[in-house]
Amino acid sequence: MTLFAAAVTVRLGRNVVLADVSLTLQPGQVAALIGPNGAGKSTLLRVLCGDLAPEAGSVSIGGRRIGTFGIQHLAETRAVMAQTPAVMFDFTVAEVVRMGWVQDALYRHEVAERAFAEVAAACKIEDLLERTYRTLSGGEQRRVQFARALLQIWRDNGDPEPRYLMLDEPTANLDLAHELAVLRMAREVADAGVGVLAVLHDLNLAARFADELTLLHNGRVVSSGSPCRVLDADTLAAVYGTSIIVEHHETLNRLVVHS
Amino acid sequence: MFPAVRIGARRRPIFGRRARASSAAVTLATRRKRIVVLLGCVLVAVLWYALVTGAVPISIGTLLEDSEAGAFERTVFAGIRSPRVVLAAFVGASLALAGASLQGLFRNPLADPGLIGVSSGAALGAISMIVLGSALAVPDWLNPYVLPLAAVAGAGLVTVFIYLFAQRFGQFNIVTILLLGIAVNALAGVGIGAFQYMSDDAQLRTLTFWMMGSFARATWLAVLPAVALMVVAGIALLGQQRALDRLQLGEAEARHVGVDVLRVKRLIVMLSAAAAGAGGAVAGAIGFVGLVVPHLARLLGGAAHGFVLPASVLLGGALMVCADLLARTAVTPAELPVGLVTSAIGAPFFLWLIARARPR
Repeated sequence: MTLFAAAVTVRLGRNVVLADVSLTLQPGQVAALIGPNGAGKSTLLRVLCGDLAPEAGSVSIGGRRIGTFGIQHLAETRAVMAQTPAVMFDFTVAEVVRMGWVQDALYRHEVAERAFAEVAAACKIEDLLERTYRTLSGGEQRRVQFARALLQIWRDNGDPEPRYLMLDEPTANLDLAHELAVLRMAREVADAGVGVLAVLHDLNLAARFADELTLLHNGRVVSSGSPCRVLDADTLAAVYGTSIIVEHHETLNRLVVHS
Repeated sequence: MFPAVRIGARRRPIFGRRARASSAAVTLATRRKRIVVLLGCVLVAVLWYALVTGAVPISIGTLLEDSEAGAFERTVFAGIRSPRVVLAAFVGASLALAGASLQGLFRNPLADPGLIGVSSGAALGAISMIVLGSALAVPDWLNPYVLPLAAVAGAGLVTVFIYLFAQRFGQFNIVTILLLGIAVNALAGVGIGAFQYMSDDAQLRTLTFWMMGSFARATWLAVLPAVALMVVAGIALLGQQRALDRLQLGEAEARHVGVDVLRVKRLIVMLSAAAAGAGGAVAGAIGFVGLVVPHLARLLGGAAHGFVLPASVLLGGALMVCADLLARTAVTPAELPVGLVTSAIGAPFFLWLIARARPR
């Protein structure tokens, strides 16, 4: 039950935004999309979550084309956190998080309450629950939206149904500690059997948390694979147009990227 | 691959972690239930008071006993006051409900049936009938229906026009609909102005009263079809509360959590037009109820549509019955147009809302 994008091409007007992009996402894996601004990362995410139908190529989950999924079925299969939307009315944080609950057909009300409490605890937003969502800071809103997405893919222990979590710059507006907390949680979710795909700008975070990296440039895949393979100083320098040093840090035991 | 990653992850899994229950959500839900019940009681009390109060005071005793003396009061109660009060309650409820739904749909606290041109469409339909109606040979039995039918037709035409135009040239997005509403309002204004110019003195007077709104012409015959339409549209709108909540996340995000956004947008625009159009058709143009009542509801119990929609229905009904009571008792035996009353109360309240909404 992998998510598979095959030779996806997207044009906006005369601009080719994505050209012949292929990508595989396994449940249990954290994959990161990296690349400079305008590389097509967010567009690829929109194609993968079913918002945008590609001009050529296809996206399928478990061999079934994503276009043939009903809206509800798709919602049960994947959660998306894109840019933080503005909420106009005074909804409480708890209400915003609960908007992610799409499993009414699967679970009873008590289970929904348990799922909500678990997710709120995991995201450490319990103290925010009664606050009005739109009075929160940008970073707090981001964490609430993350909790909303987590609730959407929540399953009772042992449910093997594959799900996917798609995050467009999940760490935007977050301070250092929350940045790490969100990505650790994404890692945990992946360990519980969810396929996680994140657009990341910070190459160090990508190196630290992702199993697979896909480097995009001008709508094409430059390289993909393990961080060791993709984070090649010469390739990165050519793509980002600036000198870049990649080294293996002994104490941290991971790759560190300097620019 | 990078063992360091796991250092911080030596915790229990997210899914299955123990957590403290949120008692806050429970209390908010309970509070909302109480407010809705309270508003229901208020509506019943207001209905009762409005039924027995007026130019002819009516007591329960007179209604129950079967004597010659009370015959006049009973006729007033059954034939004049009841349909009027019932109509006021339904029109207030459906205008408020349409307003709350449109504000949720457009994610804009200033949306209102008037904004998308539905009210102007109803006005144009009604006014064309007032001015041109005498030229049509309408059979007598149809007479009470002609004006409401023309108004519903006007509201419906505007809605269908907006819908088709947006389908053909845009993607049914919110900005398109708002801009279309402005254009439609201007066009309807041209038509209304032309009819005003063409009308004679008597027609001009009828027309002016229609534009200010009134429940004075309410009879059971005219009320029931409009009420039926409002009830059907209202029940369907009440069913959209979850979708309306999720639309607040944004359209793309609402789709991500399983809302068929295109279908919901179509449905809510059409149903709101039907609810507001039917109300406007029998009562004339009544402003500010659709705009102000949802705000009041949100002040009482927060923004969730599971609360705002039913609370708006009850509050809108109660407020409209009060406004009509004021309209018919303030200057007895004469009568104020109810639209004047609602605007006189609604506009200052709205100014207060704007002043209150400064950035926090």
